[in-house]
Amino acid sequence: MHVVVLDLGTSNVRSLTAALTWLGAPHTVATEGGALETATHLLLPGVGAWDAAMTRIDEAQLRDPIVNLVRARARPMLGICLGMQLLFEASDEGTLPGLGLLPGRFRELVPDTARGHAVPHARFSRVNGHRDRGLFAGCGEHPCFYFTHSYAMPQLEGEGETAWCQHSQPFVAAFSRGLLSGAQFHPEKSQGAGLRLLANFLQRDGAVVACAA
Amino acid sequence: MRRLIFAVLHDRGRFQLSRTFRLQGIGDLRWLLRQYNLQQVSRGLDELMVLDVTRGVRDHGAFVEVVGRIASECFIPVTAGGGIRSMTEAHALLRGGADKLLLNTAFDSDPALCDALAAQFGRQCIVAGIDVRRQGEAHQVVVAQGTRVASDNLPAWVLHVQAHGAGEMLFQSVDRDGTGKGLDTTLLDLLPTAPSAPCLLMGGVGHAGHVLDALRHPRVDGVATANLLNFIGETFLDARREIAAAGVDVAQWGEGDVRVLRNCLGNAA
Repeated sequence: MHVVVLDLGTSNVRSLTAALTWLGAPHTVATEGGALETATHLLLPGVGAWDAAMTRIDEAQLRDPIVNLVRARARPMLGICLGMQLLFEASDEGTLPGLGLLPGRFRELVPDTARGHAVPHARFSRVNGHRDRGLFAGCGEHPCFYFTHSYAMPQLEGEGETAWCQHSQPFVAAFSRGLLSGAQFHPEKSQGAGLRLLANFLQRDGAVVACAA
Repeated sequence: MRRLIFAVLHDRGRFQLSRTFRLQGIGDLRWLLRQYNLQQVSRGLDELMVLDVTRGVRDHGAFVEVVGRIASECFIPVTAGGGIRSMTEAHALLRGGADKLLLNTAFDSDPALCDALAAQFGRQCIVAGIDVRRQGEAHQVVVAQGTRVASDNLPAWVLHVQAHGAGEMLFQSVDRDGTGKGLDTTLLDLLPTAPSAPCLLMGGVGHAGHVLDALRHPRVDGVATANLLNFIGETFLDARREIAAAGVDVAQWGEGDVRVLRNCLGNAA
Protein backbone atom coordinates (compact mmCIF):
# COMPACT_ATOMS: atom_id res chain seq x y z
CA MET A 1 0.00 0.00 0.00
CA HIS A 2 1.19 3.49 -0.82
CA VAL A 3 -1.27 6.28 -0.19
CA VAL A 4 -0.63 9.56 -1.97
CA VAL A 5 -2.16 12.72 -0.53
CA LEU A 6 -2.39 15.43 -3.17
CA ASP A 7 -1.64 18.84 -1.65
CA LEU A 8 -3.38 21.66 -3.51
CA GLY A 9 -1.75 24.22 -1.23
CA THR A 10 -4.90 25.33 0.54
CA SER A 11 -5.83 22.24 2.46
CA ASN A 12 -4.95 21.20 5.98
CA VAL A 13 -2.88 18.24 4.77
CA ARG A 14 -1.32 17.71 8.16
CA SER A 15 -4.59 16.57 9.75
CA LEU A 16 -5.00 13.95 7.08
CA THR A 17 -1.43 12.69 7.31
CA ALA A 18 -1.80 12.52 11.11
CA ALA A 19 -4.82 10.24 10.60
CA LEU A 20 -2.92 8.06 8.09
CA THR A 21 0.01 7.82 10.50
CA TRP A 22 -2.37 6.76 13.25
CA LEU A 23 -3.86 4.06 11.02
CA GLY A 24 -0.39 2.87 10.04
CA ALA A 25 -0.96 3.56 6.33
CA PRO A 26 2.27 4.28 4.39
CA HIS A 27 1.81 7.63 2.67
CA THR A 28 3.47 10.58 0.98
CA VAL A 29 2.30 14.10 0.19
CA ALA A 30 2.50 15.09 -3.48
CA THR A 31 2.34 18.50 -5.15
CA GLU A 32 2.97 17.42 -8.76
CA GLY A 33 1.66 14.77 -11.11
CA GLY A 34 4.79 12.60 -11.35
CA ALA A 35 4.48 11.70 -7.68
CA LEU A 36 1.14 10.02 -8.37
CA GLU A 37 2.71 7.18 -10.33
CA THR A 38 3.48 4.99 -7.34
CA ALA A 39 0.09 5.52 -5.68
CA THR A 40 -2.07 2.56 -4.78
CA HIS A 41 -4.68 4.96 -3.35
CA LEU A 42 -5.18 8.66 -3.99
CA LEU A 43 -6.57 11.07 -1.42
CA LEU A 44 -7.66 14.51 -2.60
CA PRO A 45 -8.32 16.78 0.39
CA GLY A 46 -9.42 20.35 -0.07
CA VAL A 47 -10.43 23.44 1.82
CA GLY A 48 -11.14 26.81 0.26
CA ALA A 49 -12.62 28.03 -2.96
CA TRP A 50 -13.49 26.01 -6.08
CA ASP A 51 -11.79 28.24 -8.68
CA ALA A 52 -8.59 28.56 -6.63
CA ALA A 53 -8.34 24.76 -6.37
CA MET A 54 -9.09 24.13 -10.05
CA THR A 55 -6.60 26.83 -11.06
CA ARG A 56 -3.98 25.07 -8.96
CA ILE A 57 -4.84 21.70 -10.55
CA ASP A 58 -4.51 23.10 -14.06
CA GLU A 59 -1.39 25.20 -13.40
CA ALA A 60 0.38 22.22 -11.85
CA GLN A 61 -0.87 20.03 -14.75
CA LEU A 62 -2.49 17.62 -12.34
CA ARG A 63 -5.71 17.00 -14.28
CA ASP A 64 -4.38 14.26 -16.58
CA PRO A 65 -2.37 12.38 -13.91
CA ILE A 66 -5.44 12.30 -11.62
CA VAL A 67 -7.82 11.14 -14.36
CA ASN A 68 -5.31 8.56 -15.65
CA LEU A 69 -4.68 7.14 -12.21
CA VAL A 70 -8.37 6.31 -11.85
CA ARG A 71 -9.36 5.57 -15.46
CA ALA A 72 -6.24 3.91 -16.93
CA ARG A 73 -4.56 2.50 -13.83
CA ALA A 74 -7.69 1.65 -11.84
CA ARG A 75 -6.53 3.11 -8.53
CA PRO A 76 -9.19 4.04 -5.96
CA MET A 77 -9.53 7.71 -5.15
CA LEU A 78 -11.22 9.49 -2.24
CA GLY A 79 -12.07 13.17 -2.42
CA ILE A 80 -12.61 14.96 0.88
CA CYS A 81 -14.73 18.11 1.30
CA LEU A 82 -13.76 20.43 -1.59
CA GLY A 83 -11.73 17.49 -2.94
CA MET A 84 -14.99 15.53 -3.30
CA GLN A 85 -16.62 18.44 -5.09
CA LEU A 86 -13.76 18.70 -7.59
CA LEU A 87 -14.50 15.17 -8.85
CA PHE A 88 -17.72 16.54 -10.39
CA GLU A 89 -18.40 18.81 -13.35
CA ALA A 90 -19.20 22.16 -11.82
CA SER A 91 -20.16 24.25 -8.81
CA ASP A 92 -22.16 27.41 -8.23
CA GLU A 93 -19.12 28.61 -6.30
CA GLY A 94 -16.89 28.95 -9.35
CA THR A 95 -16.76 29.29 -13.11
CA LEU A 96 -14.01 26.78 -13.98
CA PRO A 97 -14.87 23.20 -14.98
CA GLY A 98 -14.18 20.48 -12.41
CA LEU A 99 -12.40 17.18 -13.05
CA GLY A 100 -15.65 15.86 -14.53
CA LEU A 101 -15.15 12.26 -13.40
CA LEU A 102 -18.80 12.27 -12.27
CA PRO A 103 -21.80 14.21 -13.57
CA GLY A 104 -23.36 16.91 -11.44
CA ARG A 105 -23.19 20.47 -10.18
CA PHE A 106 -22.75 21.65 -6.57
CA ARG A 107 -25.38 24.07 -5.27
CA GLU A 108 -25.09 26.67 -2.55
CA LEU A 109 -26.74 25.69 0.73
CA VAL A 110 -29.59 28.00 1.70
CA PRO A 111 -29.58 29.01 5.39
CA ASP A 112 -32.65 28.36 7.52
CA THR A 113 -31.79 30.12 10.77
CA ALA A 114 -35.27 29.61 12.23
CA ARG A 115 -34.47 25.90 12.32
CA GLY A 116 -30.85 26.41 13.34
CA HIS A 117 -29.39 25.68 9.89
CA ALA A 118 -26.65 28.27 9.44
CA VAL A 119 -24.41 28.43 6.35
CA PRO A 120 -21.57 27.51 6.29
CA HIS A 121 -22.72 24.17 7.63
CA ALA A 122 -19.87 23.76 10.12
CA ARG A 123 -20.48 21.14 12.79
CA PHE A 124 -20.89 17.46 13.45
CA SER A 125 -24.04 16.12 11.78
CA ARG A 126 -25.71 12.75 11.59
CA VAL A 127 -25.41 10.73 8.39
CA ASN A 128 -28.01 8.25 7.18
CA GLY A 129 -29.05 6.05 4.30
CA HIS A 130 -25.83 4.01 4.28
CA ARG A 131 -25.43 0.30 4.94
CA ASP A 132 -23.05 -1.39 7.35
CA ARG A 133 -20.58 -2.23 4.61
CA GLY A 134 -18.17 -0.57 2.20
CA LEU A 135 -17.10 2.88 3.36
CA PHE A 136 -19.39 2.77 6.38
CA ALA A 137 -18.66 -0.75 7.61
CA GLY A 138 -18.51 -0.66 11.40
CA CYS A 139 -19.37 3.06 11.61
CA GLY A 140 -22.70 2.50 13.38
CA GLU A 141 -26.30 3.17 12.41
CA HIS A 142 -26.35 6.98 12.73
CA PRO A 143 -22.72 8.07 12.85
CA CYS A 144 -21.85 11.76 13.24
CA PHE A 145 -19.19 13.36 11.07
CA TYR A 146 -17.64 16.84 10.98
CA PHE A 147 -18.77 19.02 8.07
CA THR A 148 -17.59 22.46 7.09
CA HIS A 149 -18.92 23.61 3.71
CA SER A 150 -21.32 26.00 1.97
CA TYR A 151 -21.95 24.03 -1.25
CA ALA A 152 -23.51 20.60 -1.54
CA MET A 153 -24.61 17.94 -4.05
CA PRO A 154 -28.41 17.57 -3.96
CA GLN A 155 -28.60 14.31 -5.95
CA LEU A 156 -26.42 11.49 -7.22
CA GLU A 157 -27.18 8.99 -9.96
CA GLY A 158 -25.62 5.60 -10.59
CA GLU A 159 -24.91 2.36 -8.81
CA GLY A 160 -23.03 2.41 -5.52
CA GLU A 161 -23.12 3.58 -1.94
CA THR A 162 -24.74 6.90 -1.12
CA ALA A 163 -25.00 8.36 2.37
CA TRP A 164 -27.07 11.46 3.05
CA CYS A 165 -27.07 14.35 5.47
CA GLN A 166 -29.96 16.66 6.28
CA HIS A 167 -29.14 20.35 6.76
CA SER A 168 -31.48 23.05 5.45
CA GLN A 169 -31.94 20.51 2.63
CA PRO A 170 -30.79 16.92 2.08
CA PHE A 171 -27.44 16.46 0.34
CA VAL A 172 -24.88 13.76 -0.43
CA ALA A 173 -22.67 13.19 2.63
CA ALA A 174 -20.50 10.46 1.10
CA PHE A 175 -20.55 8.04 -1.82
CA SER A 176 -18.77 5.36 -3.77
CA ARG A 177 -19.11 4.96 -7.54
CA GLY A 178 -16.73 2.27 -8.72
CA LEU A 179 -13.21 3.43 -7.88
CA LEU A 180 -14.36 6.93 -6.99
CA SER A 181 -15.35 7.79 -3.45
CA GLY A 182 -16.07 11.07 -1.79
CA ALA A 183 -16.88 12.49 1.61
CA GLN A 184 -18.33 15.97 2.02
CA PHE A 185 -17.34 15.72 5.70
CA HIS A 186 -13.81 15.47 7.10
CA PRO A 187 -13.16 11.84 8.13
CA GLU A 188 -9.80 12.88 9.59
CA LYS A 189 -11.68 15.21 11.99
CA SER A 190 -14.58 12.90 12.84
CA GLN A 191 -13.46 10.84 15.81
CA GLY A 192 -13.23 7.04 15.50
CA ALA A 193 -16.06 6.80 12.95
CA GLY A 194 -14.10 8.99 10.55
CA LEU A 195 -10.86 7.05 10.97
CA ARG A 196 -12.80 3.85 10.38
CA LEU A 197 -14.21 5.23 7.12
CA LEU A 198 -10.69 6.15 5.97
CA ALA A 199 -9.46 2.67 6.85
CA ASN A 200 -12.43 1.14 5.00
CA PHE A 201 -11.58 3.14 1.89
CA LEU A 202 -7.96 1.99 2.07
CA GLN A 203 -9.15 -1.61 2.29
CA ARG A 204 -11.18 -1.43 -0.86
CA ASP A 205 -12.21 -5.07 -0.85
CA GLY A 206 -15.05 -3.93 1.39
CA ALA A 207 -14.00 -6.08 4.30
CA VAL A 208 -14.82 -4.70 7.74
CA VAL A 209 -11.64 -3.39 9.29
CA ALA A 210 -10.96 -5.65 12.20
CA CYS A 211 -8.36 -4.54 14.66
CA ALA A 212 -7.22 -5.86 17.97
CA ALA A 213 -7.93 -3.48 20.83
CA MET B 1 -26.77 19.53 16.65
CA ARG B 2 -25.35 21.52 19.55
CA ARG B 3 -21.66 21.53 20.36
CA LEU B 4 -19.48 20.90 23.38
CA ILE B 5 -16.02 22.50 23.18
CA PHE B 6 -13.01 22.37 25.45
CA ALA B 7 -10.49 25.24 25.51
CA VAL B 8 -6.87 24.73 26.49
CA LEU B 9 -5.18 27.92 27.67
CA HIS B 10 -1.50 28.14 26.80
CA ASP B 11 1.18 30.55 28.05
CA ARG B 12 4.71 30.06 26.67
CA GLY B 13 4.82 26.30 27.12
CA ARG B 14 2.68 26.20 30.23
CA PHE B 15 -1.04 25.65 30.61
CA GLN B 16 -3.29 27.87 32.61
CA LEU B 17 -6.51 28.13 34.48
CA SER B 18 -8.27 31.45 34.26
CA ARG B 19 -10.51 33.17 36.79
CA THR B 20 -12.11 36.46 35.77
CA PHE B 21 -9.20 36.72 33.30
CA ARG B 22 -6.52 36.28 35.98
CA LEU B 23 -4.27 33.35 35.14
CA GLN B 24 -2.91 30.54 37.23
CA GLY B 25 -0.26 28.20 35.81
CA ILE B 26 -0.98 24.49 36.09
CA GLY B 27 1.72 22.67 34.14
CA ASP B 28 3.68 22.24 30.93
CA LEU B 29 2.63 20.51 27.73
CA ARG B 30 4.01 17.11 28.69
CA TRP B 31 2.26 17.37 32.02
CA LEU B 32 -0.98 18.30 30.28
CA LEU B 33 -0.85 15.44 27.80
CA ARG B 34 0.06 12.97 30.53
CA GLN B 35 -2.33 14.21 33.16
CA TYR B 36 -5.32 14.87 31.03
CA ASN B 37 -4.80 12.61 28.02
CA LEU B 38 -6.29 15.03 25.54
CA GLN B 39 -7.01 12.28 23.07
CA GLN B 40 -9.22 10.57 25.59
CA VAL B 41 -10.82 13.88 26.57
CA SER B 42 -11.45 14.68 22.89
CA ARG B 43 -13.67 11.61 22.52
CA GLY B 44 -16.38 13.54 24.32
CA LEU B 45 -15.87 16.81 22.40
CA ASP B 46 -17.07 18.37 19.17
CA GLU B 47 -14.06 20.66 19.01
CA LEU B 48 -10.92 21.69 20.82
CA MET B 49 -9.70 25.25 21.21
CA VAL B 50 -6.08 26.01 21.92
CA LEU B 51 -5.69 29.61 23.01
CA ASP B 52 -2.48 31.52 23.58
CA VAL B 53 -3.21 33.66 26.63
CA THR B 54 0.39 34.83 27.13
CA ARG B 55 0.34 38.25 28.80
CA GLY B 56 3.87 39.33 27.96
CA VAL B 57 6.09 38.60 24.95
CA ARG B 58 4.62 35.76 22.89
CA ASP B 59 6.55 32.84 21.43
CA HIS B 60 4.47 32.19 18.36
CA GLY B 61 6.68 29.40 17.01
CA ALA B 62 6.29 27.46 20.25
CA PHE B 63 2.54 27.99 20.15
CA VAL B 64 2.32 26.64 16.59
CA GLU B 65 4.18 23.54 17.76
CA VAL B 66 1.81 23.02 20.66
CA VAL B 67 -1.19 23.31 18.34
CA GLY B 68 0.37 20.82 15.93
CA ARG B 69 1.14 18.36 18.69
CA ILE B 70 -2.41 18.48 20.00
CA ALA B 71 -3.97 18.35 16.51
CA SER B 72 -1.95 15.25 15.59
CA GLU B 73 -3.45 13.30 18.50
CA CYS B 74 -7.03 14.54 18.50
CA PHE B 75 -9.18 13.63 15.51
CA ILE B 76 -11.62 16.50 15.90
CA PRO B 77 -11.55 20.10 14.63
CA VAL B 78 -9.06 22.36 16.38
CA THR B 79 -9.45 26.12 16.70
CA ALA B 80 -6.30 28.09 17.50
CA GLY B 81 -6.11 31.69 18.56
CA GLY B 82 -4.89 34.38 20.85
CA GLY B 83 -2.49 37.03 19.64
CA ILE B 84 -2.84 36.45 15.89
CA ARG B 85 -1.54 39.69 14.38
CA SER B 86 -0.53 38.76 10.82
CA MET B 87 -1.33 36.60 7.81
CA THR B 88 1.99 34.80 8.36
CA GLU B 89 1.04 33.77 11.91
CA ALA B 90 -2.42 32.67 10.78
CA HIS B 91 -0.99 30.62 7.95
CA ALA B 92 1.54 28.95 10.25
CA LEU B 93 -1.25 27.87 12.61
CA LEU B 94 -3.39 26.45 9.79
CA ARG B 95 -0.44 24.65 8.20
CA GLY B 96 0.48 23.40 11.65
CA GLY B 97 -2.81 21.64 12.20
CA ALA B 98 -5.47 24.19 13.16
CA ASP B 99 -8.78 24.15 11.30
CA LYS B 100 -10.10 27.48 12.51
CA LEU B 101 -8.70 30.72 13.90
CA LEU B 102 -10.03 32.61 16.90
CA LEU B 103 -9.57 36.36 16.49
CA ASN B 104 -10.43 38.86 19.15
CA THR B 105 -8.29 42.00 19.49
CA ALA B 106 -7.65 42.02 15.71
CA PHE B 107 -11.32 42.92 15.11
CA ASP B 108 -10.55 46.16 16.99
CA SER B 109 -6.95 46.91 16.05
CA ASP B 110 -6.79 45.51 12.50
CA PRO B 111 -10.18 44.68 10.90
CA ALA B 112 -8.46 44.62 7.49
CA LEU B 113 -6.48 41.57 8.65
CA CYS B 114 -9.75 39.83 9.56
CA ASP B 115 -11.13 40.68 6.10
CA ALA B 116 -8.00 39.30 4.46
CA LEU B 117 -8.04 36.08 6.51
CA ALA B 118 -11.71 35.45 5.69
CA ALA B 119 -11.05 36.08 2.00
CA GLN B 120 -8.05 33.75 2.00
CA PHE B 121 -9.35 30.87 4.14
CA GLY B 122 -13.13 31.33 4.11
CA ARG B 123 -15.55 32.61 6.77
CA GLN B 124 -15.98 29.12 8.21
CA CYS B 125 -12.34 29.45 9.32
CA ILE B 126 -12.84 32.65 11.34
CA VAL B 127 -14.24 32.65 14.88
CA ALA B 128 -14.67 36.04 16.53
CA GLY B 129 -13.93 36.00 20.25
CA ILE B 130 -16.18 38.57 21.96
CA ASP B 131 -15.31 39.21 25.60
CA VAL B 132 -18.04 41.01 27.49
CA ARG B 133 -17.81 42.73 30.87
CA ARG B 134 -20.90 43.86 32.73
CA GLN B 135 -20.87 47.45 34.06
CA GLY B 136 -24.01 47.80 36.12
CA GLU B 137 -26.80 47.57 33.56
CA ALA B 138 -24.44 48.22 30.64
CA HIS B 139 -22.12 45.84 28.80
CA GLN B 140 -18.67 46.53 27.44
CA VAL B 141 -16.88 44.56 24.74
CA VAL B 142 -13.27 44.31 25.87
CA VAL B 143 -10.15 43.30 23.93
CA ALA B 144 -6.44 42.84 24.63
CA GLN B 145 -7.21 40.29 27.35
CA GLY B 146 -9.78 42.49 28.97
CA THR B 147 -7.54 45.54 29.28
CA ARG B 148 -9.18 47.77 26.65
CA VAL B 149 -12.78 48.66 25.86
CA ALA B 150 -13.52 48.17 22.16
CA SER B 151 -17.22 49.02 22.28
CA ASP B 152 -19.99 49.72 24.72
CA ASN B 153 -22.56 48.54 22.20
CA LEU B 154 -22.62 44.74 21.99
CA PRO B 155 -25.20 44.46 19.15
CA ALA B 156 -23.17 46.90 17.03
CA TRP B 157 -19.97 44.95 17.74
CA VAL B 158 -21.66 41.71 16.64
CA LEU B 159 -22.52 43.35 13.30
CA HIS B 160 -18.96 44.72 13.09
CA VAL B 161 -17.26 41.31 13.44
CA GLN B 162 -19.68 39.69 10.98
CA ALA B 163 -19.00 42.48 8.48
CA HIS B 164 -15.30 41.66 8.81
CA GLY B 165 -15.51 37.96 8.07
CA ALA B 166 -16.56 36.20 11.28
CA GLY B 167 -18.22 32.87 10.50
CA GLU B 168 -18.85 32.10 14.16
CA MET B 169 -18.83 34.08 17.41
CA LEU B 170 -17.59 33.00 20.82
CA PHE B 171 -19.15 35.14 23.56
CA GLN B 172 -17.24 35.05 26.79
CA SER B 173 -18.38 36.60 30.04
CA VAL B 174 -15.36 38.10 31.80
CA ASP B 175 -17.33 38.26 35.05
CA ARG B 176 -18.26 34.58 35.01
CA ASP B 177 -14.85 33.32 33.76
CA GLY B 178 -13.56 30.57 36.03
CA THR B 179 -16.22 31.13 38.69
CA GLY B 180 -18.15 27.91 38.07
CA LYS B 181 -21.39 29.86 38.58
CA GLY B 182 -22.91 28.97 35.20
CA LEU B 183 -22.91 30.56 31.75
CA ASP B 184 -24.41 33.98 31.10
CA THR B 185 -26.99 33.31 28.36
CA THR B 186 -28.43 36.80 28.88
CA LEU B 187 -25.54 38.13 26.76
CA LEU B 188 -27.26 36.68 23.69
CA ASP B 189 -30.62 38.11 24.73
CA LEU B 190 -29.04 41.56 24.36
CA LEU B 191 -28.99 41.08 20.57
CA PRO B 192 -32.16 42.36 18.86
CA THR B 193 -32.25 39.40 16.45
CA ALA B 194 -30.54 36.00 16.31
CA PRO B 195 -27.29 36.33 14.34
CA SER B 196 -27.06 34.22 11.19
CA ALA B 197 -23.62 33.02 12.28
CA PRO B 198 -23.48 30.37 15.03
CA CYS B 199 -23.03 31.67 18.59
CA LEU B 200 -20.85 29.90 21.15
CA LEU B 201 -20.84 30.73 24.84
CA MET B 202 -17.97 30.47 27.32
CA GLY B 203 -17.24 31.44 30.90
CA GLY B 204 -18.66 30.04 34.11
CA VAL B 205 -19.15 26.32 33.52
CA GLY B 206 -18.96 24.50 36.85
CA HIS B 207 -20.73 21.27 35.98
CA ALA B 208 -22.63 19.52 33.20
CA GLY B 209 -25.95 21.04 34.32
CA HIS B 210 -24.62 24.50 33.38
CA VAL B 211 -23.79 23.26 29.88
CA LEU B 212 -27.25 21.74 29.53
CA ASP B 213 -28.96 24.95 30.72
CA ALA B 214 -27.06 27.03 28.17
CA LEU B 215 -27.57 24.61 25.27
CA ARG B 216 -31.33 24.86 25.84
CA HIS B 217 -31.15 28.55 24.91
CA PRO B 218 -32.26 28.80 21.27
CA ARG B 219 -29.38 31.12 20.32
CA VAL B 220 -26.61 28.96 21.79
CA ASP B 221 -25.07 26.69 19.17
CA GLY B 222 -22.35 25.44 21.47
CA VAL B 223 -20.70 25.82 24.86
CA ALA B 224 -16.97 26.08 25.51
CA THR B 225 -15.22 25.58 28.80
CA ALA B 226 -11.62 25.79 29.96
CA ASN B 227 -12.55 24.25 33.28
CA LEU B 228 -10.03 21.44 33.14
CA LEU B 229 -10.33 20.29 36.71
CA ASN B 230 -14.01 19.45 36.46
CA PHE B 231 -13.65 17.69 33.12
CA ILE B 232 -11.08 14.95 33.11
CA GLY B 233 -11.19 11.41 31.79
CA GLU B 234 -14.67 10.37 30.80
CA THR B 235 -16.51 13.36 32.23
CA PHE B 236 -17.18 14.99 28.84
CA LEU B 237 -18.61 11.71 27.54
CA ASP B 238 -20.76 11.45 30.66
CA ALA B 239 -21.87 15.08 30.31
CA ARG B 240 -22.74 14.44 26.67
CA ARG B 241 -24.90 11.44 27.58
CA GLU B 242 -26.62 13.47 30.27
CA ILE B 243 -27.29 16.33 27.83
CA ALA B 244 -28.62 13.95 25.15
CA ALA B 245 -30.84 12.18 27.70
CA ALA B 246 -32.32 15.58 28.62
CA GLY B 247 -33.43 15.99 25.00
CA VAL B 248 -30.76 18.31 23.58
CA ASP B 249 -29.48 17.15 20.19
CA VAL B 250 -25.74 16.52 20.51
CA ALA B 251 -23.50 14.25 18.46
CA GLN B 252 -22.86 10.77 19.85
CA TRP B 253 -20.04 8.57 18.71
CA GLY B 254 -20.88 4.96 19.43
CA GLU B 255 -17.83 3.71 17.56
CA GLY B 256 -15.81 6.68 18.68
CA ASP B 257 -12.78 5.06 20.16
CA VAL B 258 -9.81 5.74 17.91
CA ARG B 259 -7.48 3.56 19.97
CA VAL B 260 -8.72 0.29 18.45
CA LEU B 261 -7.80 1.64 14.99
CA ARG B 262 -4.19 2.41 15.86
CA ASN B 263 -1.89 0.90 13.24
CA CYS B 264 -4.73 -1.24 11.85
CA LEU B 265 -3.31 -0.86 8.34
CA GLY B 266 0.28 -1.29 9.51
CA ASN B 267 0.56 -4.78 8.09
CA ALA B 268 -1.16 -4.04 4.79
CA ALA B 269 0.86 -5.02 1.75
